[in-house]
Amino acid sequence: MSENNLNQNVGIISKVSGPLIVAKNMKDVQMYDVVRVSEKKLIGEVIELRGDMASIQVYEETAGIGPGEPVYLTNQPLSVELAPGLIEGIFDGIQRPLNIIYGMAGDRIPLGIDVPKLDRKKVWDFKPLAKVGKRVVGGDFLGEVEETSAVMHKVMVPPMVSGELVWLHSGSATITDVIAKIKTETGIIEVKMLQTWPVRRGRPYQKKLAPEAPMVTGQRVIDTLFPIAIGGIAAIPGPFGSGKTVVQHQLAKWADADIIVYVGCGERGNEMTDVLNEFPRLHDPKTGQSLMKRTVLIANTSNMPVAAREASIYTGITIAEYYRDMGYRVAIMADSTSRWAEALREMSGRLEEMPGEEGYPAYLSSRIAEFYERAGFVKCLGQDNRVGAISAIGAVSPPGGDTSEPVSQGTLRIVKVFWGLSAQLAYSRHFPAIDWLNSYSLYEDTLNEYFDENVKKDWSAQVKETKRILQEEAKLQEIVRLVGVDSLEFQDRLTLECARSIREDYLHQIAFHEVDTYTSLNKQYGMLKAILTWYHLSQKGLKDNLSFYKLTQMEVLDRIGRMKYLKEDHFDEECAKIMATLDQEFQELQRGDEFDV
Amino acid sequence: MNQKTEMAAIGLDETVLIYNALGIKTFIVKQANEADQIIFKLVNQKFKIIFISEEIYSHIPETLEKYQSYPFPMILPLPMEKESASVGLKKIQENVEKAIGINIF
Repeated sequence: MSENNLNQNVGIISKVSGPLIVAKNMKDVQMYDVVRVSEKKLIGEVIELRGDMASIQVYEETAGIGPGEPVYLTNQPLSVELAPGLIEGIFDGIQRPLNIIYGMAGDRIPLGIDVPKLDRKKVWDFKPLAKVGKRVVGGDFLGEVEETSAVMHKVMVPPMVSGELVWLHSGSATITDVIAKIKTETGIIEVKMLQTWPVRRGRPYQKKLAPEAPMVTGQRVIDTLFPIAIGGIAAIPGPFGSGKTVVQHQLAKWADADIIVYVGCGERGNEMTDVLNEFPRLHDPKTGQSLMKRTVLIANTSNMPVAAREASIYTGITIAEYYRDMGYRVAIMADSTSRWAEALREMSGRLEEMPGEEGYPAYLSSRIAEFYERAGFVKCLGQDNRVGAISAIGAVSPPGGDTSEPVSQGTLRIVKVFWGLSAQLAYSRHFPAIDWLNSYSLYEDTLNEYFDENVKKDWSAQVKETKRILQEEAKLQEIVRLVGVDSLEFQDRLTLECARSIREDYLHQIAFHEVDTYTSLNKQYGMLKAILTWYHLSQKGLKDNLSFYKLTQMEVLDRIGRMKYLKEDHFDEECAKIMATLDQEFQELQRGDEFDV
Repeated sequence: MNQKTEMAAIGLDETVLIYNALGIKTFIVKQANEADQIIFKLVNQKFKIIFISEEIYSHIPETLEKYQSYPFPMILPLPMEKESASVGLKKIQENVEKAIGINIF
C-alpha cells in the first residue's frame, strides 16, 4: 500500500538531456509545477506534459543524474516570495539569495541547496495603516515596513482576498508572522507579510492607463531625442562592445524611478560585479541615499544553468509588479533578452519542437510580448485608486549587430522606444552610441506636451530643429564624401559645424565623469539652447557677410563645448554668462567687419 | 537678353580705371580685405562678373570660397599692378585636376 502511494506521487526519470529531464508516472502533475529531481533535490519546472510523461527543465546542473531516479512533486507552480527583504538582495534566476548561499557554501552553488528565498528570521517593524473593522479588498494597504532607508514597503492585502479586517498587528514581526486577520465569506484568512506569486502569471491590476510623463534618465540623447515614458517599454539592440550594458547601468543609476530591478541574464559575471561594486557607492540624486537601497538584483550570469535564465526574466518582472502594486514607479532592466531567447531555443531544441526562424521556437515572439506586456502604467488594485508603473528596458544582442534577426524583430514589434546602438559610433568613441538616425520613440508626441509645459515652452521646437540638423548633416555628408567639403555653401558648412557641435558637445556623454554622467532637463535645455542660438546668429551673420571662419572659431564655442561639465547647482548663472558672451562676441564680429565703401 | 549684364573691376591702384572705358564699373581699395565688402555689395546688386587684381585675389581666399559654389558672380583674376603671377592658370589647373583626377598640365 505504502509503495503504491509512493508510486503515485513520485515520477521516474526516463531521459536526461542536459537541463531537460523526461520523467514518467507524472499524471498528477500540472503544467509549470515545481518538482524536485532525484535524491539531490534539484529544482525543476514542468514545461511539457504528454500522457503521464512530463518534460522538466532543471534549474541546476544535471551531471550525475540518470534514468530511474525519482522526481518528487511539490504541486506548486514556480513562484517568487514577495515580502520585505527583497530590496538590496541579489538573487539568482529562481530567487535563491546568492549572498546567503555564498555565506553557506562559498563561490559555487551546491546542487539542490535548500535556502529560504527571503530571510525568515529578520524582524521588521510593522506600522499598521488600515483600520480594524473596515472592509478591505485585495491591494489595500494593511501597514508599512521600512525596508531600507529609501524604500517604505507597503504590506498589502493579497490580490484575491477581500472582507472585513478583524485584527491587525502592530510592532515587530517576521515575514511569516500573522499580521492581519480578514473575515471573508469563506472564513477568516490569516495574512502574513509574505506573499507568494507564480512567476508566469502577471499580478492583477484595475486598469491599464496610457503613459503620460517621461521617465527622466539624465542621459541627454535619450531625454532629448528619444524619451521613454514612465510605464513605457524600450529596447536597446546593439552589437558587441557598443555599450548596451553601460547604457543599462546608466539607466539603472539615474532613471527617475523609485525601485530598480536589474536582471543580469546570461551576460558576463563581471558586469554584475560592476553593479555590485558601484551601486552602493553612488547616491540617488533625489533621496541622497545609496542606489543599492532601491535596487533588486537578479543575476543569472553566462556560466549559470541555462534553464534558470529563462526563469530570471519572469522572477524579475514579478518582483517589479509587486512594487508597482504598492504605487511605486519601477524600472526593470533586462540585460540581455537575447541570452534569454537563446535559453528558450536551447530548451526548445531539447524538447524536439519544430524550430522556427534561426532555430528559435515558434512561440518566441509571443514569449517576448508576454514579458514586455507586463510593463505599463496602471491603476493598482485597492480602494485608493493609486497608480504604479513598470518601465521595462531590455537589451538585445543581435549577432553581428544585424537587427533583422528574430529576437530583435520580435522585440521591435512590441516596444515603443528603440535605442539602436551603432558599432560605428562606438568605434569612433562616441558614447552613448545611440544612433540618432535609426532610433525612435513613439512616446514623443505625448511627452513633448509634457516637456513644453513643464520644462520650457520651446522644448519640442528645439528638439525638432536638432533632429532636422542631424538629418541634414547625414545628407550633406554624402555630398562631402563625393566632392569634398569645400564644394558646399557656407550655410551648409555651418549646418555641418552645428551638427558636429550637437554630436560632440551635446549628445556625447561620459558615463564615468562625475558631473557629465547625469544632466537634468533644465541643463539639457540650456545646453541645446546655447548651441542653437550660436547656429541662428551665425546663419544671420553669414547673410550679413561675416566671415565663416571667424564664426566657427569664436571663443565662446569652447565654453559651449564645456557646458556639460558645469555643475547643476550653478548652471543657470553660468549659462546666462555664456549666452551674454555669445551676444557680445557677435556684436564685436559685426563691428570689426564694417567698412565704409 | 533682357537682363543687363553688370560687370565690375576692383584693383589696388588707379590702373583699374582703364576698365571704365569698357563700361565696367571700377573700384579702388586700399587693402585687399576691403574688397570682400565690395564684392558682397556687388553680389547683392546682382553683378555677374567681377574682375579683381591678382594681388587682391590671393588675399581673399574665403571670399572666393564663399562664391565658388554659386553660378554668379564669376570672380576673375587679372594682372593689373604687377606682372602676371598666373594665379588664374593655377586655379584652372586645380579645377581640372579635381574634375578628371590627373594633372594634365
